[in-house]
Amino acid sequence: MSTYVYMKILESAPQRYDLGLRILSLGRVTTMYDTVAEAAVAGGLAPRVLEIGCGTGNLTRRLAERGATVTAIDINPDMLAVAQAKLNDTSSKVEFREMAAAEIADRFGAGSFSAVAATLALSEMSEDEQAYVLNGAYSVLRPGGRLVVADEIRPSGLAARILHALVRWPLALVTYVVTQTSTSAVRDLAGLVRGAGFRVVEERRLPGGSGMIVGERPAEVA
Amino acid sequence: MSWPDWIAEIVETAFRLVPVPVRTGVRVVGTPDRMSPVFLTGNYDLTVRRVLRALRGLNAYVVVANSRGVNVWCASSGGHLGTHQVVTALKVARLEEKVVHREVIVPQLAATGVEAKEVRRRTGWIVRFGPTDAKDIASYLAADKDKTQAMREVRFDARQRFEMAAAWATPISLMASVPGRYWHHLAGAVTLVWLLALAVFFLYDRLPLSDRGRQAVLAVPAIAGISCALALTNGFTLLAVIGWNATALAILGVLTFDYAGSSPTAPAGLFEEKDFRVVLDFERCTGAYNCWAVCPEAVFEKQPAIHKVSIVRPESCIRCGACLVQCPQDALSFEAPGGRRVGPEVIRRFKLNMLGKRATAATPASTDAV
Repeated sequence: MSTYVYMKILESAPQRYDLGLRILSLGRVTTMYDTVAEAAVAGGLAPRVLEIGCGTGNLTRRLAERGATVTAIDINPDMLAVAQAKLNDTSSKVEFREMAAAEIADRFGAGSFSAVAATLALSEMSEDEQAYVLNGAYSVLRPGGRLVVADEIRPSGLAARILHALVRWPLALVTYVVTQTSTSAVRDLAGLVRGAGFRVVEERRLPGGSGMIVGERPAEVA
Repeated sequence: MSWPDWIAEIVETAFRLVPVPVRTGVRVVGTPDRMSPVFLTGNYDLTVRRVLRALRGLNAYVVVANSRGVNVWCASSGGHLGTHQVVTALKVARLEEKVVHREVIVPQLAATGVEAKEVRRRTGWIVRFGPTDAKDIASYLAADKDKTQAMREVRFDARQRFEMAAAWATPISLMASVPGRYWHHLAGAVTLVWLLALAVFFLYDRLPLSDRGRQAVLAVPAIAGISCALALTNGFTLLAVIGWNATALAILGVLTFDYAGSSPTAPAGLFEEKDFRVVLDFERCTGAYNCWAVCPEAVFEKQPAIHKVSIVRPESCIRCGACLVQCPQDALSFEAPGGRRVGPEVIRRFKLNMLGKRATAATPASTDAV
């Protein structure tokens, strides 16, 4: 049972994930992490951040370095192990938990975070999952809290999409062959965020065909 | 079968090694009511089609989980259809609003990845492992969800053998068809590829020999056949004999190197784990019989008089790990020849396939204390 050669390659893929992302983004992925981390800790003393799909901990580390207390979740224990190793010096402020993003509303109390952040995580989910997870993010954020999501954005026009695909596929192929890492794109990130009840306060293009959306959970009306 | 089903069956069988993801979420079959059964499967196109066909004429909900377009068994042993994916699919489906029960029927072959106890803890849904083959769903429901031995066992019948031969022969044939210097040999090359693929998938595991012996037994008639064919077509030159035979041996190598990966009945193991055997801590066993219910090879037998199971056919074990994952008492583990144990906590996290060097490493640090 099961295709061994492939499994053996995948087994060590988490160790090559960071390299894969650097190749795929031509080194620009670090800009995404820095921008998202800044946005997630902005405007608050002692920010409490829930990070969805922390992967190998690149954003987690930046959040902790900026003074946030972070709860970082991921479904992949291999990725979490890599992240944990990377975070040793700031580990007192970071808690890793293996769980699905769809569970956050069950596992964390309403209003327990000042920010929810996710990079390259929504694109890993199917569309019904994305909507469900953003609803969950809304409920665990306190009023006025911020949702910061960044992902690869699929261009809206047909021509732009074809051009994007043509430019991207050789790079994606090389990346996959070397590191067994790939990413996919989200169609309408801002629409998704609005659909979950957030007010979009910032929409920013990032290098390498990515974008960041900052949504705010409206303060409750008295 | 409808004609889109036929096309999907043919095309996706030919390209079986490629994932074909379809939309996740709930499919409504017939006119289900609040007591209708809930099924769950992965989002590989052929899988979803076959499950929906098997349910024709019945009333049910089918939750399609995100297995990345990979079939149930490969996805569950490779980490793409596990507890988290099932939990996510059940949460998003919100079937609590549609049915009064909390029982979801999951393919038995997902038992390597989906830990029933954990799904229940996280969602309240009780996982019941259904038959290995979607074809048996109707008779399984008719028998009040009682699985016969045949429904639990995994088969590698003539049709599946042909499918796997086609799955390998198609891409290799296509590679041979890339226009180039040897294009005039295309018909010969494609015939050779298909003959070898059929020979491997119909004979390999039936030869009572070691892997090396099997490769040799398949290689000898291949070489003889090629030489005869070249002689009959007046192409018997030294270069042709060497070229064709080298090609044949290379193809045989590719097909047999990962034979276990393409066969549902070949034991797992290219590496250290090929010598693992499943062992039972007899004291711990309380006779829950989950192992018996999920084993695709009938390794276990119930001993109801003493509320225990016994391992009666250890030689049939293919080391899928499903029994370890599902045992509520953690009474089963793998044992390496030196006596070292690899316990269920390791297999639950990494699956045996993904174990590699971790077989000796400590368990990982991440926790989820709910």
